[in-house]
Amino acid sequence: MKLGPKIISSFVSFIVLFGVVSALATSLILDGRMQHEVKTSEVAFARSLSTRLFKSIKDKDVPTVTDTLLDELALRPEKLGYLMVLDKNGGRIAHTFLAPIPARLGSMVTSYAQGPGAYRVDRIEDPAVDVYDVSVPVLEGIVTVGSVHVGLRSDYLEGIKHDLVRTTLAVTLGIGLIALLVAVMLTRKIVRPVRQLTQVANQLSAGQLDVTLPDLHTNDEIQDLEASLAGVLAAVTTLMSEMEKQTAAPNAAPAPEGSK
Amino acid sequence: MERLRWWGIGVLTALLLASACDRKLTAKENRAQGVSPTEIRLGSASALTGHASFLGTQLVHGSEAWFKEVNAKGGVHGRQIKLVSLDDGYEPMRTTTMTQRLLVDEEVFILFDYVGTPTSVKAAPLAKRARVPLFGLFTGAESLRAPVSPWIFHVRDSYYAEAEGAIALFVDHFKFKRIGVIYQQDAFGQAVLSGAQLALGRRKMEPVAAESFARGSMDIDRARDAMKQAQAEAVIMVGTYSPLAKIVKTSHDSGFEPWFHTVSFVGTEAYARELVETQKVAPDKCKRLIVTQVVPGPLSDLPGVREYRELAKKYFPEDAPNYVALEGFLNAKVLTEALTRAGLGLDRDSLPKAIESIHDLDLGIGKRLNYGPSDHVGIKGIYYSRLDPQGHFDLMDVGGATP
Repeated sequence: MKLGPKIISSFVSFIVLFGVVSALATSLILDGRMQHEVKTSEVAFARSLSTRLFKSIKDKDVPTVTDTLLDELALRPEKLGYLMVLDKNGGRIAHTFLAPIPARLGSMVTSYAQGPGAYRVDRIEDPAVDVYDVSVPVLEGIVTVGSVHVGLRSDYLEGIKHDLVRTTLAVTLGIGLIALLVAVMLTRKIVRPVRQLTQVANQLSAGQLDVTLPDLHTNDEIQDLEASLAGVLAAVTTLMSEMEKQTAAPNAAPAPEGSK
Repeated sequence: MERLRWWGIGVLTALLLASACDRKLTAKENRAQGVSPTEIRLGSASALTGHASFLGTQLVHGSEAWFKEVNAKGGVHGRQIKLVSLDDGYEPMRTTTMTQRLLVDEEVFILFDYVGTPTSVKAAPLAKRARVPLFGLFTGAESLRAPVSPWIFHVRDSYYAEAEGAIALFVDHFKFKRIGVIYQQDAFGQAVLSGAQLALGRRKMEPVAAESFARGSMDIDRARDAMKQAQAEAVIMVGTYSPLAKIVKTSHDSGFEPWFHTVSFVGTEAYARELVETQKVAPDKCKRLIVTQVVPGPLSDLPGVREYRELAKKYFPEDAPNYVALEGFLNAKVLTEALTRAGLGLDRDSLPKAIESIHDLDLGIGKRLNYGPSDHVGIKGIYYSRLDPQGHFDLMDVGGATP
């Protein structure tokens, strides 16, 4: 492979690989860290709902709880699949569904670790609802009187991840294109004088001494190469002219003794 | 080696792009929920008990009268129409839970025959979120009409149209200069007040007084006194029939006798009874009591209204003909037309298109109905009714009316 394509392919390969690895790393990091952050923020939201609606939940005031849940859901429909409040036995008090409720949500686990910071995150994959069910207990003292459930849409989380990966890939593509331009320019800068010098060397090797060296001011190894080539050309020219002189001399004087 | 490297890069990039584009399918939906080969289930949440129960029960009875007749004749494309009717007591929060129950537990096809502004305002976002048509609201609130929602369809015209009609009568026809407004403090009151302000504004006028009273309260003295003090020649009133009838009676008792107007939502027959039987308004003062209507008089001789009376008598013989039931009857007739047009492939996406395809529909009520993609109101324009000495609000001949 020629020097030009070699430089360009190496350069671009590196950039693309760097971008791909970055995108993969972003994806892996987001899978863990960011999803955890989002879920814990929903834990805080569920707790605030639990506090605000405590009396209504305890009194099973369905209209008030339903109304509040629907208002909250309307603020973030792209993020929340549902909001649901269950009683201590797992029976539904209120929810935000507007179509028959998926059977999978009829058997939610509502047992929590003891203590004020308790919460659960359950993955629910159902054809009708694909969410992370983030739930907290509704506590009266240390007694659980119900639970608040926030259905965090998995497609929302996937969407964030995909957006970031796509952005990384797009940036990589942009940088790759710029790298390609830079590589082409660099290659030209290096390869063109090398080609010119190669041409001169080829002419020399063909015995053509009346060559003109390119006027290079690269101030680098290529200029050193040109200087060396100029030296070689000068030496060859001198040698050739001396040889010509010697060839012409026998006609003017006898050959010295021992030259035969 | 070189070739291998390029293949590697290509495969990796393709995999990443593919994963980025892969979105999981959203929740499955049944757009034809509530529709079976033998039945179409409609869901209504309205006031069947409480102070507005007349409105809910009569609206549903009017619709049922038509649906029963359709079912007796074989239904729509062989499907019987079933109306599941739940009681929201005219309480907005109950409207929410009843709407949810209709969609989730009763698995109805669409929402139909809702009563009231604050209640319908609660149901509208649910219909939008669930992408379920909400058809035939017994309210004229502008917020449910503009901007046009792809899921909300009305048969009746708006409170703005009723307010414009009243102002046109008082200002353009009677040449009154002093118009006052008394309104109930809620979304309903605000809706009509806005309509009156806009109608007066178009005539470079504004209300000489605007006063409110609490919803469900009979404490109307301050509002009435404000109208008297402002020497209003006509008063636009917004509220339920009991406080409005009290405003009329106590005004008359104090020697203040302007024209009083209210909109169709009042429940015309109940308002008339309250005026004549409870408040005992003198017969000679009845002619100055106006109610704008969005459907013709239930006793009028129009063919569509005669049909209503016949079927109402057949299926609900205990009910006297009334404006609310007639509106429910017309709601049902228009919906049946749309269900018929939608055909056997009826679902929640085809029904709106079928409604929007209705043009020049003649229901025998003196006006033809038109819908379109940017027009979700069927009957355009209003009717005037005036209390007669016998205690009925009859259609009024505006041309012959004098102040």
